[in-house]
Amino acid sequence: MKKITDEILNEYIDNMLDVNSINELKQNLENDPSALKNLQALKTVNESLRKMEVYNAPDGITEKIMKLVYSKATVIKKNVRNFMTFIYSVLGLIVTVCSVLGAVFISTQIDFNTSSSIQIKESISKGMEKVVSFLNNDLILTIGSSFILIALLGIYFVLESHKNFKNKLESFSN
Amino acid sequence: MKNLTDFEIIESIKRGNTADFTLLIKRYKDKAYSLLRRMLKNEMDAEEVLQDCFLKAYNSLNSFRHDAQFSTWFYKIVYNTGLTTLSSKKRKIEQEMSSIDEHFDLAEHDNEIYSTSENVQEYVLKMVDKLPVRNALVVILFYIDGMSLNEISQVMGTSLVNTKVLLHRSRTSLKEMVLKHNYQEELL
Repeated sequence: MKKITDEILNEYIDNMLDVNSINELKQNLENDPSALKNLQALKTVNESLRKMEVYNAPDGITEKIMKLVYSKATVIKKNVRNFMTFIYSVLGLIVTVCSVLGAVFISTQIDFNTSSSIQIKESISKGMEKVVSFLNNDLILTIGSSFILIALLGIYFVLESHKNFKNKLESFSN
Repeated sequence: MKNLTDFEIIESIKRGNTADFTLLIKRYKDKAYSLLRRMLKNEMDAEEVLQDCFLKAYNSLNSFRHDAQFSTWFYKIVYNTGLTTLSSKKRKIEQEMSSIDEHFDLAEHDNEIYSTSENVQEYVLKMVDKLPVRNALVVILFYIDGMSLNEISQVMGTSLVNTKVLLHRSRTSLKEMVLKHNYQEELL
């Protein structure tokens, strides 16, 4: 006769035994009062545990949690806004610095002691002529167009990724 | 709205309907609270951790993958947050969590529990609170939450075999105590 272990009895309680094992167990139990007593005790435990009480969560817990959820969302929204403000400030600063540097560079190229409106016009028209003659080169035109196209595409993708990132942050905070 | 599945509620929340999160709270708060109260053995701690768990779940909803049930995913958060709280309170968590082979003896609590219990059910349920944390949690998840052993193993991060061992060992220990007092005859 196969020994009836606690493991087998537990599996019997959990309906994990196949039909043959159940039949064998039932036969063996008839000749093993000790195992039968064990099974009865396990069934008692099982029945008691099935009646285990579910504690009710404290009153108002749902409202408390939702309040936390909303306040957290507000904090994140503020963080998103602060982050965007920071990004725009940095961009603004970069543009300002570039403008100032550009202005300083141009001012150093013009001799203000001898300059007059005619001289300035002449220098501008000379510069324009140089630029036009330089751009008339087909190779330069092709390369320049390619660069502009790449730059435009780059800007487009940067803006798109920025938009996606912003949406992601906002959906997280909603 | 009551018939919405967890999946539908989550999709709604992701679309921006934050208020729908109340549906998930109402659905899981009592069972999660029961688990935490039995785990932490303190009502105030259980309430505080419960709030924390729901907040964590809300903040992580975007990372929730629908290849698992929400209940399993959420109970995993509850279980881990509960353990962290226990650990921070410097209870004997290391001893509790070390191994499924740990020895525990319910007999040492027998006098206290037996003298204050009016019937077998009360006795057994009080004894559950004296089981080591993981044993008690398997019992609670199995009986209160109606989870399968497979789901419990996912929540607790243990193998299916070890989860089964934990459940059977807990039940067998309780059985020994029931036998000691011949309680089995009461229900026959």
